Amino acid sequence: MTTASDAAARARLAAINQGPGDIAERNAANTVIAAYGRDPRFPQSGISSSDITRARLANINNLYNTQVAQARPTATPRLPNYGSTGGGGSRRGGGGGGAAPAPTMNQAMLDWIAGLLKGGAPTAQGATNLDLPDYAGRPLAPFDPSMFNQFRESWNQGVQSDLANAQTATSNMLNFLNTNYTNAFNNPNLTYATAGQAPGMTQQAMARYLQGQGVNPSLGAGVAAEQAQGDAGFGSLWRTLAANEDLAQRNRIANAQQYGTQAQQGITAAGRGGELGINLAQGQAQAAWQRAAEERAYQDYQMQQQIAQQEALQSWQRANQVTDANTAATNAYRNSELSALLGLMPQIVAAGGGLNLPSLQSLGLAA
Amino acid sequence: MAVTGYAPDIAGYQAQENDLQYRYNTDRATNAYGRFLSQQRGQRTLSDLSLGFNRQLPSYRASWGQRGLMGPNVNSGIMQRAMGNYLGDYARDYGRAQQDATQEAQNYDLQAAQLDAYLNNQMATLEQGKQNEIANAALAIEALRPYLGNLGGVY
Repeated sequence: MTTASDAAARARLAAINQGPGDIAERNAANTVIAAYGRDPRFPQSGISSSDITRARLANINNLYNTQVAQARPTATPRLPNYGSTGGGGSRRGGGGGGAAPAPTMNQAMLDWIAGLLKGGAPTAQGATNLDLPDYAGRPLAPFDPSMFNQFRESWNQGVQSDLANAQTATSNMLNFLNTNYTNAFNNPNLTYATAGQAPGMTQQAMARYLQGQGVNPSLGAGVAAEQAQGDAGFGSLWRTLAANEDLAQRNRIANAQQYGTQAQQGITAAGRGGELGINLAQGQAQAAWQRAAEERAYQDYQMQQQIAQQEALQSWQRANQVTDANTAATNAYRNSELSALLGLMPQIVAAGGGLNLPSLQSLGLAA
Repeated sequence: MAVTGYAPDIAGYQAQENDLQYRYNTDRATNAYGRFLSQQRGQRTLSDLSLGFNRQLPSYRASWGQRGLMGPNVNSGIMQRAMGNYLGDYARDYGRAQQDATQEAQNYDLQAAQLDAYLNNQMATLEQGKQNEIANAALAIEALRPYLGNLGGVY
């Protein structure tokens, strides 16, 4: 049964709950609820110990249980050490029926409020760094020398072919010289006429003829000597020409060999020149490829740097945003806490100075 | 221009060799025929010389007999010396005619040998020119290949 005194107390409590301090408290609680997504004063099974420390949770629960226990007997919120509202005008004597004295703030109330305020402190949000997928890059395919190798192989085949042709030509020449050469002046099939082969009588026949005519056969010796001298002179000429032919043949052979060597050297030099050209072309191509590869690598590096800068910038911005949000939430909380405390000042003063003001630690304003 | 089309003119050399051989053959035949004529001419000269001498020799001997310088049991020193000179002159003229014929034949033989040598030299020169051109072609191909856009291949 609700007494008049209880009704009055409820009315007073309701009046108290609509004061500026109550409003600030509710605002703070709403801020906390908005930060957590629920009311931290009423623990639920899904609450994580990382969100609210167990100490804070226990404190809130204790305060809540105290509040519930105090309010339960009359189903009306009862403040700790709540003064009697019965009777009437006993303090002032006489004149009964007057309003009950205003409730005064007690220490338990003040502690409960301080704990509530502390529990409503916003929890700092943490910023997560941005980690974009790494840029894989697209390096150039390795330099492909196969075309140059093919050129080189084909070129060398050509060089070998030309060398073989030149060698064959030289070999044919030497073979021709050695096979077909016959010294015309030293050819057993081609002899020259001598006095012994002259037409008519031989010297012996002439000697016999002279002897038959009764004269000395030596009369023809002078002519025979002339013939012998003529043969000797012609033979000398013949042998000279034969030697000249052999010399010419040796010169031809030497010339053929020399020319063959020169051709070989010339072809070899030209071949090396061509191979050098291929090597130079490959070197230029490799240099061009190297430049392109370096440019590509630099582009990849730039992309990686851009992504890294983007990650850093985004992370930095996010961290600043979180810090700003945390600072704003803390400032709002503290303002509301201060407003709530200032709203309680009349009740605290009315308590007559017997209350211990909450410490900064109990209010969550200092570590 | 493709390098493949560049090759020595072998047929040209063969034609020159054929011409050379043809000229050699004609010159050599002409020489042989000339030598034959020369030999025949020398033979005739010697035959005529012997024939004339043998015809004159009996009358020459008889003139010595008419003068009583030669006959049975007569053999004068003057006649001996004169016969020696007469036969010596004959032997000398005959020998020199033989030598002329021989030297003329030798001249033909020399020309023949020179024709052979010339043929040998010219054939060698032509062959050398041909083989040199083949080698030169290989060298030229090698040197020109980079500029003709044909790097390799067998030609």
